[in-house]
Amino acid sequence: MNASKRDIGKGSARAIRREGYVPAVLYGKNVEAVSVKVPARDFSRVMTAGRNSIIKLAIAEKGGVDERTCMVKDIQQDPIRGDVIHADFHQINLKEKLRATVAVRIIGEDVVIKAGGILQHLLWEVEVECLPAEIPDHLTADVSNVPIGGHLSVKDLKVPAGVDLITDQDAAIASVLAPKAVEEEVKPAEGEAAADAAQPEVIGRGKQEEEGAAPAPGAKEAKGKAEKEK
Amino acid sequence: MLMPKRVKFRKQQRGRMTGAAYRGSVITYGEYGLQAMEPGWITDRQIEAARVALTRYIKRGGKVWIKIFPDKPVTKKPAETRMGSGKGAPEFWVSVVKPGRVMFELAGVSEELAREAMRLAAHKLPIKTKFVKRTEAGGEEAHEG
Repeated sequence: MNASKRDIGKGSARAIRREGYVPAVLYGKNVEAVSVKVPARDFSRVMTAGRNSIIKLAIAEKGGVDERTCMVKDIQQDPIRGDVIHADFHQINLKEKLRATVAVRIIGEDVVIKAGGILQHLLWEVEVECLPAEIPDHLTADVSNVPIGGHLSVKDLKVPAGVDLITDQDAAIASVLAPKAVEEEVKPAEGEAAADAAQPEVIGRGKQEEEGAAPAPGAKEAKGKAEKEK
Repeated sequence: MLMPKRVKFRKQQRGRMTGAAYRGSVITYGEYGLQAMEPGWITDRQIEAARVALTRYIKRGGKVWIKIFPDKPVTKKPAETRMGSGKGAPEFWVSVVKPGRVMFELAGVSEELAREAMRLAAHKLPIKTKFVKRTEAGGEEAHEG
């Protein structure tokens, strides 16, 4: 991916975004941080390929091109449009192990649904430690053998050789729940509505002052009416 | 209906709803979400109506998360009352929602079902919304209309 150095500051960052680039920063171990910009299209292509892709970042400089091997460490996104506002590139050493977040994909969902269970996917990503080239694209969790009421843990994941799982081994990836009847879901809520409306909220600090100062809503209404009659 | 159990003060000022929701703007629990595109007050009744619409449509199966909570009291003066003599009595509770906020999340159902369920729920809300879904490895969320 081609990159070029940029000025820092929000004004220039906005201008860079308008031109179709993503402002970014490149940093790493024993490396000085460099503020760069990368074409937004190229960046989105990299993100589609996978968050853990190894990138050869060619930074255009006056004397030539400075090529760095890096990975995407973090991205900032617009909360509404989803556009990438800023990216962090982490310069890596291909011979040094690093920690990365890998997606967990669930298979065997159909079996659970056929058996009448509700699959609850609890953990969507796990942390692994391995060489950059060995980072798996994703890990698969087979839930076809999980009974209703059971769960699948991190330790049940099949991990390729050379990859160590950092996430807690007992953390649940997915659980299979027994289905609930629709009536059970709706009826208590309707009952609650009437009960809740009648319940006044409990006031914490300054309880006495509030109670003393503010009369009951009914009293206020009566006061209002009396004023109107006047 | 949703409301806080305890509050520090019975009445609040209205406040402003500028900017976007940076917190709570990504899908954290489920697979699909309903994202606000406009700022607004979502009342406890609207949240409940949307929840009922969601759970009725998905029937058995699937799990719903409500990621907003009505923690702001709204007061009202009684009808045909002259102005003055203080602030009205608390009437209902609202949740202040800014654009980008993921209000509901859904998991354990097909995308088609989730889309329709979210469409029905969105009709119970006073603001424009968007159906969003989670993508892998903490990457970009698919933003679709």
